[in-house]
Amino acid sequence: MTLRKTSLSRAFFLELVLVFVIFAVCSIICLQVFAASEQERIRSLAMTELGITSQRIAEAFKADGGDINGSDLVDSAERVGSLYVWSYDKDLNVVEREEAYFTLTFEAAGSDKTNRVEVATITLSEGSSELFSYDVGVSMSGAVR
Amino acid sequence: MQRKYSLDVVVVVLLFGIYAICAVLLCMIGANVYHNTADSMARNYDNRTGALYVVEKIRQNDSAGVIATDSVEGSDALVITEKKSGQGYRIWLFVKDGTLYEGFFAPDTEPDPALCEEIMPMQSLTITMTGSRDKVIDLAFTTTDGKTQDFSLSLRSAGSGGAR
Repeated sequence: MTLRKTSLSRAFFLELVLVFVIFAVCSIICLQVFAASEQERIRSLAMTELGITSQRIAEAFKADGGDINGSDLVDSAERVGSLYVWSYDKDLNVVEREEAYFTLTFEAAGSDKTNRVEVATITLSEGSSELFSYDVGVSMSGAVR
Repeated sequence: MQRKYSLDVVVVVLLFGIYAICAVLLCMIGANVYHNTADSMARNYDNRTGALYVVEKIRQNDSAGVIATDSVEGSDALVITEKKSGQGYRIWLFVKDGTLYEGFFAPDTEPDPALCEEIMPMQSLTITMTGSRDKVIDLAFTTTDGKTQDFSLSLRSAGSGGAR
């Protein structure tokens, strides 16, 4: 009788250990999914904010007929020739270029072939990978494309 | 034998306890991640929707002499003047008591929030005309959670008597 009880107890123990191991494996998978989800959430928020900032830069470019120097946005940018660079960390604080996690750049490319449209490229990068890039052009007669 | 049996029970109960604690912790982490995600989505919605509503209104009506700024009881307001079949009217967009309102009124009528349509909750809206010839409208929206979102718009009609 005692032997049977011990055997049952051991079987239950083994079952519990097995359940625990399966649970641990599932937990690790779940935690990885949660961590990835949290990263995506932070990235999504940052991209929304930086998307709006890039839009503001484009609007300033269009408003001033191919120049953004009149905009207050240039205050937080580092200027290298015709290239403006905004550097941000993961929490979107402005940081030095070397410490940047997100980099927003604006580069005036000058006039197009017709000499009537000023063109600039706005690019958002995460580390070394480019997230989006688009061209914005402003006609010298005031029309915008 | 009795002692070994008790030890078995203790180990089993202990293992079950750890299992239960881990399960609860995992549920709490999951709930927290879900809460953060839902919160971010709501914030994103608040940030973008109200702002884009006003921005699109400006874009739709960006022509000479149509867009202007004014104030309603001390709050900034966007005023869009339209004429249809000779009958002029003005669309007022403003924030009052934590709500973005839109109302249609005759040109010489002061807007009354009670006669306006509620668009969405918003703490405040600041409108500033900047740039040369007031070509840029800077809009600062403060959402219900106190976060301020800035938008800038270049007016195509500016310089042709558009922005006032």
